[in-house]
Amino acid sequence: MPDLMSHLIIGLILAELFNIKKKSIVILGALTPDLLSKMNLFYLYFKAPALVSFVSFHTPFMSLLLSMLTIPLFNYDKTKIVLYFNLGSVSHYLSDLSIRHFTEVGTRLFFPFTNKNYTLNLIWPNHSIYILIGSAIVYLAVILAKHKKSSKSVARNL
Amino acid sequence: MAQKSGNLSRALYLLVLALFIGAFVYDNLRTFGKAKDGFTISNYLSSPEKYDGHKMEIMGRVVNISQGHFVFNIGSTDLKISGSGIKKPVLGETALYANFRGDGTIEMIDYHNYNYNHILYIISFVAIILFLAIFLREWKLTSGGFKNA
Repeated sequence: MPDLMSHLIIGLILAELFNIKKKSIVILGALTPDLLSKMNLFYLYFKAPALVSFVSFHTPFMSLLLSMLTIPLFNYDKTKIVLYFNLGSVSHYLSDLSIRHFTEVGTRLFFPFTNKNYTLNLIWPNHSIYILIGSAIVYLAVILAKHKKSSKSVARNL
Repeated sequence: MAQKSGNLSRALYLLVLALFIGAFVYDNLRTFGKAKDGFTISNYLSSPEKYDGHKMEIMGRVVNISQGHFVFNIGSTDLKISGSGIKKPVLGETALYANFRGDGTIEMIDYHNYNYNHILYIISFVAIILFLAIFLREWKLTSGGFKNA
């Protein structure tokens, strides 16, 4: 899947486009699908037996439930917490659809109703550096455009 | 009225929590069920004849390369893979697409080196730091949870 920095920047782009003040919630939604499901790398590097699978955390269904479970942690509009979190997580899953594998490994978009994996098989995970560069350019462009717009409206008000 | 709405919120929260834990347990039981009789590396190594012709992608590290075969580590196990032309990745792991034959031979069909993947891990770690910085700029932790900073 794309690296966490790509997911973070895509989350920031969406937060800017939708004028969301609490960008951290969008980013939280964008990062959490990978944060727990990457435990398999721990098993690989520390040669530990894979006792428990955390792969189910990498599904939209679990992200939706997790967004609702985080509501009590925040003294903030409940609906906005769920919306912002899921905006981030949906961006994560859409990015992951681009990732390429040899077999039908992908994202279980409709878990737990079906365990079918979905992928567009476009780019290898280690080539996500290109997504990172592209999204960084888009983010800078969005920030510049917004800055230009707000400078113009300040000038108009003067 | 306020108490009823509080009880309803609590009940809904518990329902969501139950669904979350239930889905997690269901997925692990499903994986455990598949691991019992379905294809896993350890099931294949015990009875390769049962899984003749099974093709799968496995992620691991190329340990050493010899004439006509190489050793591939997948965490807890080293596998001998039949195949030539593989190269070790640069700062990364390897995705191997293999054919698991009934005679116990695992043969390479294709592979992809995740070169410089370790650099992406470092970039990902920086992303976590950046997220924490953005989060702490927007929120402050109080006894009542996170509030606007």
